[in-house]
Amino acid sequence: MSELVTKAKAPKAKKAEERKFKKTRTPFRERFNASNVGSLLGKIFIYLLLIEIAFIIVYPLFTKLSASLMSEQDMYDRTVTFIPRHPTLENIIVVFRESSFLKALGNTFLIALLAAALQTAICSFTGFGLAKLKSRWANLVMGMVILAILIPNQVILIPLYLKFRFFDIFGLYGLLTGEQGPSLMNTLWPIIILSITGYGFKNGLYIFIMRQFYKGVPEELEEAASIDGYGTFATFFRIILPMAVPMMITIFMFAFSWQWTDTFYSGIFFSNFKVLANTIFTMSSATSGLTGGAFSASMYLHTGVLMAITPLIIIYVVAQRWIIGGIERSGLVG
Amino acid sequence: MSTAVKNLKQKARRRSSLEARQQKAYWVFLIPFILGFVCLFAGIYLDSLIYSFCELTMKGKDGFTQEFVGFANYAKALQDVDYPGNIISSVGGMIPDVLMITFYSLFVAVLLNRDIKGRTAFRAIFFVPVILATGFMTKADMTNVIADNAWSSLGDSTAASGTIANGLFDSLDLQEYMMNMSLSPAISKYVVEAVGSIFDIVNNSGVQMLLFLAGLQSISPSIYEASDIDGASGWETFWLVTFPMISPYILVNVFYTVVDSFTKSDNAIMQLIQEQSFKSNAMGVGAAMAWFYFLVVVILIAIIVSIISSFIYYQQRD
Repeated sequence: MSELVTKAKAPKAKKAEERKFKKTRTPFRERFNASNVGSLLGKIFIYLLLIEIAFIIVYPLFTKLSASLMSEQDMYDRTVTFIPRHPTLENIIVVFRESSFLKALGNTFLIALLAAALQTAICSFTGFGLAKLKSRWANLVMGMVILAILIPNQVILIPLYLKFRFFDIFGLYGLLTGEQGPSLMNTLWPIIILSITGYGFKNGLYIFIMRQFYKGVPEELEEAASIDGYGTFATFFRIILPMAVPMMITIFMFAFSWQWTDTFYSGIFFSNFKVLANTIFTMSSATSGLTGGAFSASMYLHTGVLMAITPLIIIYVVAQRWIIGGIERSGLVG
Repeated sequence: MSTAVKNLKQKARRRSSLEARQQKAYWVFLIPFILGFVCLFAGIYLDSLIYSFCELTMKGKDGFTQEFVGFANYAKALQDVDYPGNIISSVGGMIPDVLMITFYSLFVAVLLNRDIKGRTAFRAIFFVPVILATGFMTKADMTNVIADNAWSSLGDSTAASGTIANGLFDSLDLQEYMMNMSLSPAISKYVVEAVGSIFDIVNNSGVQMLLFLAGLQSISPSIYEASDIDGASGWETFWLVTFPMISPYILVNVFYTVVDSFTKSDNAIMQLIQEQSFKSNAMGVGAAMAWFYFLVVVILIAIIVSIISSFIYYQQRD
């Protein structure tokens, strides 16, 4: 009898409890879902916002595309804004011929790939040492990284040039041979040396990013690995590094595309070695000297920039599913 | 008893050997970077510092003579017409920029992390500024602005520079429009500036967004499940779970944004320094300007980082 009563009572009591709970607190998400109109408006708002921002991002590329397809006639015509009235491929052909595009493209690709691979490896190494290993010198080395991040390129422009123009470490070469060091200009060596030592373009930043990533990895993992008999290196290569893959892909992407578009190091080291970052500028000023005016220079420059960036964007679009997949897989971490 | 003491001793020995091993490992991990500093960059920094105290005279193609002049270059730099004003304006402009960029990139990263339709396409587009933010895009745009200015200064207003100029909104049109709405000039100026800076903010926050997204993705889903079971609302989940978990990335991003805004090559001071460095006989002054600016930046960043560091949560035991 009593059993029956409790059975009958149970749902009622449960309901009452539920009601009580609801009175005291309704989860925000439920309230949000309850008003479907609100959620729909929210969705529309989000999409409008995203589309708008996407438009802002794509706009400069779009203007470059339209400028590169215009004939000179269209450029001087105020009524032509975006869609060229007399579309022509002449700009593109001129740029392709004058900048020896394919050769520069091949060189740029090689340099960017080399630099990105070396820099990603070195920066993930250095970042681990800074984040997880203890040493009396840790603060000093961290100070070096901060210096590398903070000192702007322009400050070291001239000494950097001289260093690689007469390459010499501590004057040893000069001491042994009695001559000035060999010139490494127009070779791949400056980029290789800078990448291996973690001093390439924005490498201080990559080291800092990797350090922050490793800092977020819980210490328990390393302790567990150490209990299982792993040394520091085995822990790093077998446990920590696989977790860092998404961050490394991100770094690789930064390094690759920034080496591709870099004008600072290219300007110093590759005066006669054809890379895209240089040829589009020399080409546009040289060609405009033949045909006339700052105006056509700017037109050729637009076309050149677009052509130099297009391969990068194509690589990126092809690889982006993989890149984002890599970032997503890091959800397993934690 | 004796066995316990023995155990303790053994433990202590093991720990010290672990520390020694860690010290060794530290050197292995950091040797490339330290070698780079000692063999190359210590000398490069030092050279640049020495230049700032010297008067340099070009001699021949690759050589020059240097003569020690003390702080004269620094005095010259600070007496320069533009230099002190540029420092103040770049510091003043940096603070609102950093706030806006950090909030914007966090906001967009959270949006792109949600399960919305067309997420892949949006992500692909939103990462484009990462590729375009540095390097020859900026340089080309700067060159083009100069070319366009040269063109319009020739008085030929028929040139369709509007199609080439990169400004998204013609702010003159907007200003006129605001005036017609009979708003006060102060408000319209503010709006015009804000609209103008949208373009900069969007195009300067690609890296920050990517880092935030990587950070968001690295939060374990089980934490969200747990907070959902505990009855946390979306708002609470964001502030009590997501926000602390990505706080290390907030430090990275603020740091990156500050450094980026200070060292960008289209920064007024950077241009001034570059201009000075390539003037003959003024290389020393350029170096002095750069080093003084560096000092200001270091102090500012130290303040900002120490403020933010106190809010950061690392997933670690103390």
